[in-house]
Amino acid sequence: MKNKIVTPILAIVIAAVVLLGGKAILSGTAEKNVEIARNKIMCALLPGSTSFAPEEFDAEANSAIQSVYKAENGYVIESTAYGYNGDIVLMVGVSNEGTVTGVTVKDLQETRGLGADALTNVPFLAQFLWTGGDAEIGTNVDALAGATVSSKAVTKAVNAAVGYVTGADTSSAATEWGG
Amino acid sequence: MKKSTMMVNTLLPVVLGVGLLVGMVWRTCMPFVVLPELDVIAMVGITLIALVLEYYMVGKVKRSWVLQILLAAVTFGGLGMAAGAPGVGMNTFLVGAIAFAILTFVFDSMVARLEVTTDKKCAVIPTAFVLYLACQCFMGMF
Repeated sequence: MKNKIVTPILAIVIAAVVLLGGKAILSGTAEKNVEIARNKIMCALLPGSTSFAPEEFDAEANSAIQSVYKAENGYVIESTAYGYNGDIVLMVGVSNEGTVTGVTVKDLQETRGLGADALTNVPFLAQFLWTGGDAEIGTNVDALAGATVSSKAVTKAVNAAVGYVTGADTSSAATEWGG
Repeated sequence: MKKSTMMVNTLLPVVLGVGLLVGMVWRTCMPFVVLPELDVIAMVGITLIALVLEYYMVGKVKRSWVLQILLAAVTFGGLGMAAGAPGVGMNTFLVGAIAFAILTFVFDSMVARLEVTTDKKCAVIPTAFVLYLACQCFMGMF
């Protein structure tokens, strides 16, 4: 019995050491790459801007907002809403006038083939361009087929980002989970 | 004749470790890529890969259930935390243990029935795949 258990424990310890070592080695590069990639994405979301500065915000009053970056002609906002299987995190470019200039999904764990399509479905995401916090499923936005809850969550997160810039209340009942 | 071995608990950290390492390198090179979390479905897939490899390496085995489930819990929770994988917390230990216990029991039962067939060596992979799909469908109900 003693001999049998040594090999699995040794395998776990070796794997843990390799992973901890890998994490330590890669962490510097990872942080640098995050900054480069974030800047590239933000330039695409808010055309015409090149430099972005993180902005302080009231997290209690803006529970859907994760971070805010200010540029010359607008903001890039990381906003979130609960989807079908967890939080959907978006990066939304919003001009100073309060119109959406770009949307991309940063993170989601929705059902593959249904809600997860929000990640790559360009026509769906393009519907939010030039909206001003008034995006609504069934009115000016078509939901993803078979993924109404995920679509509503994306809509809610986009509207929350616009709401942060304009100061408007975007918590419409029509964009609530399953509403 | 069943062999008394813990091969699956040796293979589990290897398979999981390789998966987590690949994910870590991938996230470093492409920081905003969306990869699956170490959730129930991922644990099911990793456990099944380890079980299939164990079957091809040693055949049918006699298990020390309590010890093996504890080792599986430490593997999923410990390695997930060591890698800093997203979605990993203290509940990963418990979920990993439960997923391993159920999967191993069901897989062993199926393998015991496959033993009477002539093409048992080939049948193990489709069996594991169908079991993975069944778990995905089951999780989709929640």
